[in-house]
Amino acid sequence: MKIKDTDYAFGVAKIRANELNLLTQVDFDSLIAANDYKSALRILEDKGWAVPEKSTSFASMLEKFEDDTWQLVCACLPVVSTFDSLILPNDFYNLKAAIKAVFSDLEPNDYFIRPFVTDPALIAEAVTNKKFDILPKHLKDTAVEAYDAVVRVGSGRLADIIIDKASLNTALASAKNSGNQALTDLAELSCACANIKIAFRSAETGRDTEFMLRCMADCDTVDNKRLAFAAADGGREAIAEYLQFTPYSEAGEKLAESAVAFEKWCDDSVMGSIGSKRLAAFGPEPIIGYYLTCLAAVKNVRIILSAKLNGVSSEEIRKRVRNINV
Amino acid sequence: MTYLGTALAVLGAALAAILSGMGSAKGVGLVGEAAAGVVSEDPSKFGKVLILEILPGTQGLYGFLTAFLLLARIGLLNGEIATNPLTVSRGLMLLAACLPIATVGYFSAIAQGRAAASGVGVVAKKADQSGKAITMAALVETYAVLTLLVSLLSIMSIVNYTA
Repeated sequence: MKIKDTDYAFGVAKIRANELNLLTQVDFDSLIAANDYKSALRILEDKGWAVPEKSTSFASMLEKFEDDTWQLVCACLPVVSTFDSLILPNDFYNLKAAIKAVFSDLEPNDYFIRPFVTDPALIAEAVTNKKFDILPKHLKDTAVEAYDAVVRVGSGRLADIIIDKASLNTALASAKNSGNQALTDLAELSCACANIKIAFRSAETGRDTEFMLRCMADCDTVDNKRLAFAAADGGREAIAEYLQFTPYSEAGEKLAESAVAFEKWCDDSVMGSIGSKRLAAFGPEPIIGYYLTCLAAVKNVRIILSAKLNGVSSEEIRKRVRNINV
Repeated sequence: MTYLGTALAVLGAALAAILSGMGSAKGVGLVGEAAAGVVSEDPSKFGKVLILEILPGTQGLYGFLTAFLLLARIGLLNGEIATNPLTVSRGLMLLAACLPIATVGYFSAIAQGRAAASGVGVVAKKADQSGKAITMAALVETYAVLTLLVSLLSIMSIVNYTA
């Protein structure tokens, strides 16, 4: 059944009401300017966050916020699978965690993340018992290939590459399949950013083009071959030069600035990709925008609190904090 | 064939009531969904979103009013029609008179529903701006009111018309 934009009327209105509770840029400025970790926590507590009482570990607070956000998003969607492209990468992360945990004799459940499309218990069972047939189609082949890479080649790095590439390709295919342009643009942007990162890191570590092409995800807006050859031949400058001919010309400038600036640009671009579409009265875009804003808020809170715990200056924190448009 | 004119007039009344009623049902339903989204988070905004939800319901009333007036004027409600049936040409004219409110009522109710549902989003974030949201949605009403007038005036003129 085709979903109409008006089928999101309930969800969009619910999201609008919840947008009032989001942390704004002003709130992040206050958090950055906070004297210490405890002061920052107090600001978050005033904004309704479930801050930890004694512990300096704020991971559970962020996990709870992420869980609550996802539950809200699910309540707002007529069909939850519409957003699969946003959470499919978590399945691949869980697969990676399961393989590493099994080979390190660790408990996989401690490393799984939420939300997910495939139950992590199923992934753990498949990897532990080598019963990959029980996995859904999007994970099965990747799991076999990554598992073999560890067992036969003895390369955990190769397994990571296989899983990361499959994760991006699967998310992009799922986004295209959803028929929503905003989700497709977002997945395409994620692939492009990942490929640029691969080219940049490979150039810094002297990797060859074959390696780069093996790692890079399918991407319509970046020519992987030209990007890989630019990285191998001329390093950072050549990458920036090639990117001038793509929609990511700004990425080249950020790369020239620093890796931190580039990482921030990637995250800000993800937020920016939804742009004014989030103001629409109907359709999934406002819900996508809300979800992305919440993820960016979690990232910012993590950066700020970690920095406060380690006595990092406000100026340094400001360079890393992502833009928030509420 | 005696009652063909009457049948055409009744068809007009039915279209006015059915189409504008369908439009209103769609419009009110859409705003209702949006309103439920806001009230589920903030029940105190029920009063403000209720006004927005009512707006697309008026077209259904206009259709009902048009149909009722037509049926009363042709004597169907008091039984006079049995002794004084309408001619085919007069029946056709009455059918045509109903079309403005039937069609514009249907489409304007849906359009108003979309505008009002968008206004619900405004109320959700800025409750103090609800007046603006109501005004924006209410403007769509203009065209339903205009066609209501056209339909009513036409019906009254046609029934009173003597060739």
